[in-house]
Amino acid sequence: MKKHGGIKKSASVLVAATIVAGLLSACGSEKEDNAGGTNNAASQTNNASEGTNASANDTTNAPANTGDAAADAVVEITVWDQPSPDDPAKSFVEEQFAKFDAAHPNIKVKHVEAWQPDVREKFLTAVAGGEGPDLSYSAFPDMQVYIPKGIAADITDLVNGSPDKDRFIDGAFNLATKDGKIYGIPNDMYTSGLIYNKKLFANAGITAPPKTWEEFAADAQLVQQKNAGIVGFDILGMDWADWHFEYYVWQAGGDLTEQQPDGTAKLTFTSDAAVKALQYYKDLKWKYNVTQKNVVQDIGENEKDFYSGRSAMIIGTSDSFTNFVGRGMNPDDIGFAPFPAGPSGKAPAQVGGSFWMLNPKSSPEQQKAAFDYAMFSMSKESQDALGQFKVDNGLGLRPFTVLKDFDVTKFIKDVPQDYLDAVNESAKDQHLEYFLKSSLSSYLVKPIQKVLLDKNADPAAELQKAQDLAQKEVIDKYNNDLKAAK
Amino acid sequence: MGNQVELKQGAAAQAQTQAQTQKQMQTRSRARFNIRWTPILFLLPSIIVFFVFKYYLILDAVYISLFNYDIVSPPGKFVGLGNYFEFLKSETFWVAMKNTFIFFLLSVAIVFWVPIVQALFLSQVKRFNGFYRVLYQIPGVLPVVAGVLLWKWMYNPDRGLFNYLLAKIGLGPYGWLNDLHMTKFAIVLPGFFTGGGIGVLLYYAAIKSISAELFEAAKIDGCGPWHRMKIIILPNIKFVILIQFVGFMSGVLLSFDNIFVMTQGGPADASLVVALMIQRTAFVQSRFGISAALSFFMFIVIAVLTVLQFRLQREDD
Amino acid sequence: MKSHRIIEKGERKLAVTSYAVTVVFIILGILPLVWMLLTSMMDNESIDATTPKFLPDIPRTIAITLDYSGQQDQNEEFYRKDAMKATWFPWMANMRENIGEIKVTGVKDGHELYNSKTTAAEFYVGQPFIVPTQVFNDNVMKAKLPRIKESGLSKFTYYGQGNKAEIEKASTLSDQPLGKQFQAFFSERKLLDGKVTSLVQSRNWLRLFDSYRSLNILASEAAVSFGFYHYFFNSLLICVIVIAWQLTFGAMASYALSQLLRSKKTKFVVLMYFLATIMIPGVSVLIPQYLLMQKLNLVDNLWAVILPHFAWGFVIFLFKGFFDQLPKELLQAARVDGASELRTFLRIVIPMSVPVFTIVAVMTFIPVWNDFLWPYVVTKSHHNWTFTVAMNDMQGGRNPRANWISAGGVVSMIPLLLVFLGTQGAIEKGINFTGIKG
Repeated sequence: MKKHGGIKKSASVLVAATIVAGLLSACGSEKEDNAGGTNNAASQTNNASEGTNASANDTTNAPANTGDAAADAVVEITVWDQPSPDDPAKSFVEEQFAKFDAAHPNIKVKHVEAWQPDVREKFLTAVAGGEGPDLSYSAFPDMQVYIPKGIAADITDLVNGSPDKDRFIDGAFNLATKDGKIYGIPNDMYTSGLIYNKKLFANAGITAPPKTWEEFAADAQLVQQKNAGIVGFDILGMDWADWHFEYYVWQAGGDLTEQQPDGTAKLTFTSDAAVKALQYYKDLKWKYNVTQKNVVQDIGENEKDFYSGRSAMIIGTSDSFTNFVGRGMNPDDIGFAPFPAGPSGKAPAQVGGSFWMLNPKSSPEQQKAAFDYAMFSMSKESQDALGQFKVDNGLGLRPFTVLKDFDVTKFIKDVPQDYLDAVNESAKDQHLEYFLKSSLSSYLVKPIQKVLLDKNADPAAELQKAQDLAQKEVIDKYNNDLKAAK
Repeated sequence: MGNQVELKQGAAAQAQTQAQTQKQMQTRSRARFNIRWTPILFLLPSIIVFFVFKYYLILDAVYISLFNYDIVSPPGKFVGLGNYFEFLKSETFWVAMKNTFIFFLLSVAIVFWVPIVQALFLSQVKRFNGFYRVLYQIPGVLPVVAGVLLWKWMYNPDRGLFNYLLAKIGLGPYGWLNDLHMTKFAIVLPGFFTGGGIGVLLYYAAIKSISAELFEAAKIDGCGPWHRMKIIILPNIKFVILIQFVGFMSGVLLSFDNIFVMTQGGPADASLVVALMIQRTAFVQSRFGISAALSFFMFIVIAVLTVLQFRLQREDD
Repeated sequence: MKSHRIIEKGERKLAVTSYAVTVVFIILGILPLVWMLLTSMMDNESIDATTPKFLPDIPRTIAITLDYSGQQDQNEEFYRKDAMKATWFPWMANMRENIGEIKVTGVKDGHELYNSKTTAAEFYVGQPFIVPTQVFNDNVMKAKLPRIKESGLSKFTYYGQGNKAEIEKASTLSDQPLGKQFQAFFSERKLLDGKVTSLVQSRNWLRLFDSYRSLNILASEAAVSFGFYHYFFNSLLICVIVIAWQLTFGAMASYALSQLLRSKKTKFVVLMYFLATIMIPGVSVLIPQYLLMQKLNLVDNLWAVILPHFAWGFVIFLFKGFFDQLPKELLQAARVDGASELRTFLRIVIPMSVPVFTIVAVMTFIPVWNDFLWPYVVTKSHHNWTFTVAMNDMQGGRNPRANWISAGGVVSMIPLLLVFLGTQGAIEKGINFTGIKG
């Protein structure tokens, strides 16, 4: 899904700013506590990085002194970034590969395909075999698993020693930072929101997207009534069900976990907000009757329902526009809106993205080369070239950039203004996914599926059950390990 | 062949190493017969590949299971049997275990007998018999992944074929995979449609090989055709049934592909089985130690069940 | 014979029941496959229709004539671009319609200038990179032209000015809904240099089979020389090598186990050594197996897929059952004659064992052909993919299409079906001799 949407100038700047504000606030107490520490760490690591730089210089100088024999000592790295054959930007990416090779004769990059479905087994098996790529990118939730497992290299020194660091928008590294150490280079970002089919809404005589939970249910019912054979809202009930469910918990004014000041985790599945959110899910399915019957279909099928006009609303991201247009949906029919606000009156959007990740097993030279490679792809030059390529080929750009000096606005043509405005509006209030999501996900999916499938399931009781189980099997262990480490 | 004592010894001997096995073979054959190297030569290639691709791997899995396995710098922290205790204490494991056995029972109830019945009646069919046998093979030829996707479409409660057809005869609508009580049934049901495949041929051949005199004798005794099926055919294909059952059991207890494609263990863990949990702990949660412990545990469970079955069979005889 | 038989009570009833049961089971088994076959010929909208459709709708053909009369002469590339604009852009805008092919004919001063043809197979493969959005303008097509040409996605024949005989001026403008949509698209967007003088809508049943052609184009796009058949070839190669191993070394081991080992205990231990491995869950040895392949330096190599299949206890079990029943006297006689064991095996045992060899071959073929998770993990480059890995990629990939998946399913059945049909007789003969009979 590397298709991109565009955004107008004012919008993009505002969005970038609000995203970062969101990130900062979302990282909350932890970051404030660590602020001093991080600075210290940063200064320390600055020294350290000078050290490594010095040694790197030594190694690069050494061959020059000793003669030609070692001068062509080539660093080989493997990068999992070979685009799929049907990637619209394939020719561009390959051009960039060649450019990098020309500019870095001493770095030999092997590009490996990494776009297949279920690539996770492949990646982890390769890592286990010590054959993990020197550089790859993964989504934010996966980073959360990989960092504590030591699969992502600590690149604090490389980042702090790099002149490019300040080119990234403030806070861009936060999602990949743990205990003051940096593990990833931001690649891209997205924000979530409600996507609706304007045509189906117009048929029902609704002019504006819903603003509250009540309006949402009423609109969904009305749309369903006035358009034969379609469903009001495609709900996500498959294995990622907690991903969209968390938005509703935020809208009800709470969250699913809390990180305590001492770093330990506390579950809040049974908080008032979580129960209200699950009750709302239950109502959408059983009381208002506005969801698809096949609630266990995966997100791909939900999207398919939406772009083929079988459902009127779906939860999506800022990137959904280009995706749906690419599947043949009329661009004028696609509307984006901030989430309807819940009982708390708030409707934060979720921010996520993907990161470049280095391999801790690579040699320092390889890490440096991999870092240079990632930075090359994030350079203003590469990004501008990409923007131009997208314009020339009628592709949209992602509305957000993680770079300060890359001006998306130069390359934007065709995303409707109201779509951009709505994305912008929704990005004003940002929220990070709940703490420890990767470990807790399977526990939360269960109560969600239960209320969606069982008319008589009680949200509070199901959440309580899930919380007890997760407490016993995950949280106790996590907290104990944390205390033991201290 | 053999008796119970032999079985017991065999189970114990199983643990012996390959070297010992060979030595034993060598000395014995040398002592009694004048052939030493031929059997060894004949057996050696297979013994080696089995050791390398089976025993070495499962031993490696056992080794991994003793660590809080760190895939980046293996093996990580030694935890002894800690991983085993951890999953044994986990509620999710027992849910998976329970589901695995419910799947097993359901499969026996819905799928296992199908090829037997198909072969029983096929053996009574005189005309176009060969043609029917070919037709029976066709459904089994479809790759699992493609077949499961097909069924997923047909189950779709919004626009699937099944509810549409059932509505025509006044049934439904059913939730299929969307119904917590039906999920397991819906996952097993395709096996009923697919039928026996090559299993039909196995049973059919076994039935055909029953001597005609037996039937004649029964006929003379005044046994009707239906009764003959029961008292002559079934007992005579018992051994085939047992063999098929052993394979069927380990197949069902370890089934992964079909459930993974159909539901990924959902909804609400209704179809979470141990094989899926092994995959999930390893590749979603990156807890390779626990995953290895789980797989070794499953290996033991199935081994015990298999031995038990053979033993019961022997007592029966 | 018939004359001797007395029609018993219940015999007729049994016969009728037997036919009925057999026919019902066969229908149950075949029906889903029939549906798969039908969906492979349907367009995706029909497959997903709320009210299921059972018969494929014959795809529509749109034939467009563009007239350049009175315009300045241009070069081939100019006309190619115009033809491509008239093909890819309106098709993208009407992607949900069941369009089978678009033909464009360029005419200037009554002479045919060029013609082009694009079929559904090419369009749906090319759509994600040729028209990924709905930005339709001249520059975009200019950028895409090389790619269309390179991948051969549209057939374009250029005749040049006045090289073709004069043709009659066609001026039919279709008034069917799809034709109207096309006309509206052209008149609103004003993208074309030529004037749409004729637009005819028809149907072509040949396009029902385009999903099968798509599979092949799709694979060639993935830079594999022989298209989809390359994956078939890989799977086939793996099967053949594995079967060859089993028929040689599997048979030898089982023969030794059955006839050459004299101690009952040793026999049992060795048999168990082989059989116990059936109970090892495949998922659980994924990581150790990968580590092993790495030590052997075989990752991303077809041998990594092949080697683990060499160790399959069931084969030993099948062979042993057969060899157990060999007449002892015959083997003894050979030995007395002074033949070596190897000679006995080759000259006496093998010729008697053709049926069991067939069974083992078939029963090895099925799981090896269907194996998915391991080849998926261990193969990295396209040219090492097996057919199941390719199938998975297709259905989970960026551009999953229901009719392609069905087509893939249908195609995947063919090799196994051929194997079965070719060996049915031998299998049935062989079963009588295996250990399965007891």
